[in-house]
Amino acid sequence: MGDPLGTRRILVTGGSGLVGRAIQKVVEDGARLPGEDWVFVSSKDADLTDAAQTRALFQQVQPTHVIHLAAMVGGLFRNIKYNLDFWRKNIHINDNVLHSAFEVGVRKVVSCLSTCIFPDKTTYPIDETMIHNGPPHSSNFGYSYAKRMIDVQNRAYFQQHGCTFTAVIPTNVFGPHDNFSIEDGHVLPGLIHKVHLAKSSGSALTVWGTGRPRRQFIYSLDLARLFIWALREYNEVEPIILSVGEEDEVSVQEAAEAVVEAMDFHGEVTFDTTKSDGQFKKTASNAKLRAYLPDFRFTPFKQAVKETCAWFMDNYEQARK
Amino acid sequence: MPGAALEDSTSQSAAGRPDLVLPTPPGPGAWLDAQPAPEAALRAGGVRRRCSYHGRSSGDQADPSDGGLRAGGQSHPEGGRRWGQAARRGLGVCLLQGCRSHRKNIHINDNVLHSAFEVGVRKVVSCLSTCIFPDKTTYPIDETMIHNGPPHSSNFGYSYAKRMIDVQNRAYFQQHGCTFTAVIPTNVFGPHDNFSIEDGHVLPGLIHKVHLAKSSGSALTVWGTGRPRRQFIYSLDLARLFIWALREYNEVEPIILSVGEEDEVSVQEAAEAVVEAMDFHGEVTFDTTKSDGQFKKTASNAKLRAYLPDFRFTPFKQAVKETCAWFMDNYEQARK
Repeated sequence: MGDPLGTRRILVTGGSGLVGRAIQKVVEDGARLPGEDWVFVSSKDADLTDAAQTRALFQQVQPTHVIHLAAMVGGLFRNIKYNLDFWRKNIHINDNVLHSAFEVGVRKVVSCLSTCIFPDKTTYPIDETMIHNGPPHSSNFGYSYAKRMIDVQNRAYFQQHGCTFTAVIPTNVFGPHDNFSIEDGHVLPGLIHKVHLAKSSGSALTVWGTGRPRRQFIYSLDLARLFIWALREYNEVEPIILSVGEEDEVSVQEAAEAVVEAMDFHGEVTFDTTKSDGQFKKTASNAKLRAYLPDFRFTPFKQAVKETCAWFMDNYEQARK
Repeated sequence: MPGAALEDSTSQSAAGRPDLVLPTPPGPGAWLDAQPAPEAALRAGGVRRRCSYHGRSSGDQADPSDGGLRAGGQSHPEGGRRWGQAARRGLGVCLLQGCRSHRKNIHINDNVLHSAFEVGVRKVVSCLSTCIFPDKTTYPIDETMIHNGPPHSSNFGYSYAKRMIDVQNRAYFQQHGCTFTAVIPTNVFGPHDNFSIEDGHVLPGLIHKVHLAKSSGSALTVWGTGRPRRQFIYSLDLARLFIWALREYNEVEPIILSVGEEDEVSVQEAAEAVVEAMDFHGEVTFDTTKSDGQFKKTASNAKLRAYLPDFRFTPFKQAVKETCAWFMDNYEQARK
């Protein structure tokens, strides 16, 4: 490639999304190292479901490293309806990105999986070795299998070509720049938007489902710091879970209560149990992460929720919803 | 919709065209079971072949991995379609080419299924394999177990790509109500196989080796210990079952097409059947430095038997004999 030693050009796909924006902020706030050139791209720059456009992007940018975040994502209800589209589009994106990276000699790719892709029938806590040990939850099997195939493809690139293509597995991410759509966003941003509407209209907050499912939430800015660490320091092809510990798992009801408190909502809170809960739990072990980074400190949950709610209120007009 | 009766294969479609059944055309890399069904079955079913198979080679077909995944198929002037070919390999090559075989098969399958969807194909029957099942498993394996754990590491690229056909079938059904399904044969053998010793499968490889051993007066060396066990299905039996599945099998969940568990044989026994069929009298040795692959893959054919309790498979030794005879008669042009 001709790049001088120590110069790195890092391409971040999905750069305008929840995690991409968080990485951007962390890099701009001082995490950038000398010699690092960070390039954030979004769907405006290239349609990654198209092989030719993806290849052209990689040839133009000539990255040495890639953080691959781009994906077709959605909340529970959208996944249930469109499993085929979630499967195909994500398979296309991932194959195009990984192969273009391979073709231009990228030294490392860190892709993004999710704990929702793990086997539905499983013991807890789940860990990195268990990804393929059984079918995923049926609600989002298309998305889940497409994401799992990133790990298969990473191992295949390593086995056939010796590439260091790897992946991280965040639990439920939230933060500024999320998709706050009630219909097809994720649970926490959906709750934030709902509380805002309930406050504005003086009505009750209706939480979908029973409120009992449990989740480990990771603040996007914490995830961004860990992503940057993984890009620089994590060299295994096997993936790594990035999450708060099991002891910090909360129920959807507790998450709703944190939002209610952060937004100073005093109306009624009800649960619509006719709506699906999705997976009851996805408790993940962060032991592997802790073995690498025993002293990493996550932003306390309530503080992170408060910051996210404040961002939403300050950016209501342009927020995705 | 699964469960709904299929129309008779000679009925007319809404546009007035007779139903056309389009098997993927053969080429150097194609499955041997994609060959045209026996002529009698074709006439009985009133099905016409659409494509000419003569003179077609892999050079005629675009490399499915070039240009990535495509949204639609190309229309041939006569209304036929060009399909990609399966990238299938024996054990030795699988170990080296996990990436390539994964990508090529993902591309082929996505292109075929999506093109079928776009032109309104009423039914697709794809082909999986028992080698894609979980490596750590209980036996016999059955159709519900495909995704219950990682496949054997020797061919994980191919295995995952094949498994994803089942995922995609279920997704097409869930989102669009398509009847896209799959069958799961055990080890297939028969005329027109790939008899390459390096990258063919075990039985055709043995046939070729015995022929070479006879010709040169040397020993037959079987790779591995000879102990792994397999259920072999003759390609002509599989072809009859494929046609039945196309006409009568309407579930989206796949179905195993295999002889029963009681007909499982060891690689050594398979070698002995070839030796007998080809009248070989030299020494038989086993090269235990070579990999055995999976020790067993015993599959249950209970689901098939529930549908077809009276289906009769060609006896193994007879099928081996016929295949050896075909190989000898067609040695020059056989793939090897």
